[in-house]
Amino acid sequence: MSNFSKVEISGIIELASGLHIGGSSAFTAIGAVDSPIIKDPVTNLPVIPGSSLKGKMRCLLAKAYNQTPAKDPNQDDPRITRLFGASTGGGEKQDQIVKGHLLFCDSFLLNKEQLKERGLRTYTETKFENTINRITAVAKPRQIERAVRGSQFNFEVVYEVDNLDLVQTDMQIITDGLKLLESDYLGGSGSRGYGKIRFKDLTAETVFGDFDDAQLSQMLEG
Amino acid sequence: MKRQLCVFHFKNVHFGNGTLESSAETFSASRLFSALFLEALKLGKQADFLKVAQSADFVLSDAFPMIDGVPFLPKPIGYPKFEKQNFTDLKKVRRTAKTSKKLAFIPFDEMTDYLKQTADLADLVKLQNSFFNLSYLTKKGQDPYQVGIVSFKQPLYCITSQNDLLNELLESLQYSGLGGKRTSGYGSFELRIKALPKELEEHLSDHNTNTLWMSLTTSLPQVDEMKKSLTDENYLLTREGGFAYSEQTGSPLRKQDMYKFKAGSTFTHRYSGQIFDIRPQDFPHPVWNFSKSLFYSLEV
Repeated sequence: MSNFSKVEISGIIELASGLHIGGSSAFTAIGAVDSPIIKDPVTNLPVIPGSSLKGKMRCLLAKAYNQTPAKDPNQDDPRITRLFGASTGGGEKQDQIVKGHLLFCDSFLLNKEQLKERGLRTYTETKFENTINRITAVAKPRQIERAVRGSQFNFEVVYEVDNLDLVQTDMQIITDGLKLLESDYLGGSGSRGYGKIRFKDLTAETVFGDFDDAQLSQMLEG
Repeated sequence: MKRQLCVFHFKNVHFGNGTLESSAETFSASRLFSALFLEALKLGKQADFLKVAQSADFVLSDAFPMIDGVPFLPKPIGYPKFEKQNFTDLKKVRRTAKTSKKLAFIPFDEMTDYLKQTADLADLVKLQNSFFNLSYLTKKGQDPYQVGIVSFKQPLYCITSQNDLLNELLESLQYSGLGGKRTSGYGSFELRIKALPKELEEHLSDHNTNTLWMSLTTSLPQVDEMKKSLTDENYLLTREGGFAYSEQTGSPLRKQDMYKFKAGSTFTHRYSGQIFDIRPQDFPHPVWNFSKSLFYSLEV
């Protein structure tokens, strides 16, 4: 097991359109936005939870890699469960835990100052939308909070290397996942144009152990 | 082995204390030990690590907050003793008792003041409430659930022995994280290793002749130590249980429940504790629970 290493894949997520990842509405006051977004409790700035990235990426990869549609995540293709984990399906009898090799991270807002310079007073916008009844033609308005376009978040994923033969396939899946995320959306209301994201400055860096990360960095750039 | 201060700079964590919906604000030594052991397994150094941990002078404390660079200690359970002559203003006594109840941590340089009842309790409570923030993350969908998340504004620290293997594992653990929901972004931290403040080190030394000891680790005496250490003691019990993580068994099995003395329990006789094997029945490998103790001498 001497080749055990940890590789941190990091970069920047930039929002190409407003992003809405819903938070719990338990504490919203009357008169405030109907559907608020999730925020960092310490700074009160928008945040992208690691669980949202992980879930969305896995779901997109399942469409691309599964031979047959899987009813639940444990039945995903072995190449996916190896990266994301499963609570059954491992071992000889297919009844053991499959350890995931990816660790996601919460993404925090990076360019607060830059947004401020552009004249923003808050880091979220309130979008007003409508539903129009087809028979009575009565409008039913709603308000949705979004993280503003142009916000940049840090993106970090730690990949655990334990089998050098599988690194190439794993990396192919990760890069595919990132590409799929760019062509899909993150968060809610994606079919109405929300949640377009772009990855910028992706690099791979070995943070523990002595794995050679040069090739991986090239793959991410390419 | 010499001792060191490991400072953990967390952002968001989930330290489950029985349920997914709630989170503790610190972690016990056995949580850290188990994480380190699983990390050692990945590196193939589990036997070495167990040997180091079982050696008599290896110590690991629970995690406590470090606010503005000052290490905090748990509140000594059962102290200070309220003397009879203090009962002049009953209202004031009740108010102090309530404030004291809310207090969980005390800065180590004010410990003597606290025991002499000269510390400003309201101030300490305010300080202690400023180091973290508890929030709830709601996951919607077909099968909705809630996760209790603690966001830290200040670091946590724990006292460990100085050891190269331990430091290597801690280094590796930074990127694996500690606590629950690790793969979706909770529990990763930045580690700084610092020297122990001299005054703190003196209180931890074995040569103290004081008669009162406060445990800094949620621990349990060995069977033969139990009777001796349970004379003139003040303690709280806490339960440790849950599922055993294993890649070698089928359905997840529950560990044997353990009830241990909480950090902050006070004893007149020290005990050493041990690393217990709490594997479920017919389990293929041991499941270790770190229950060794570390004591701090109190000047009462």
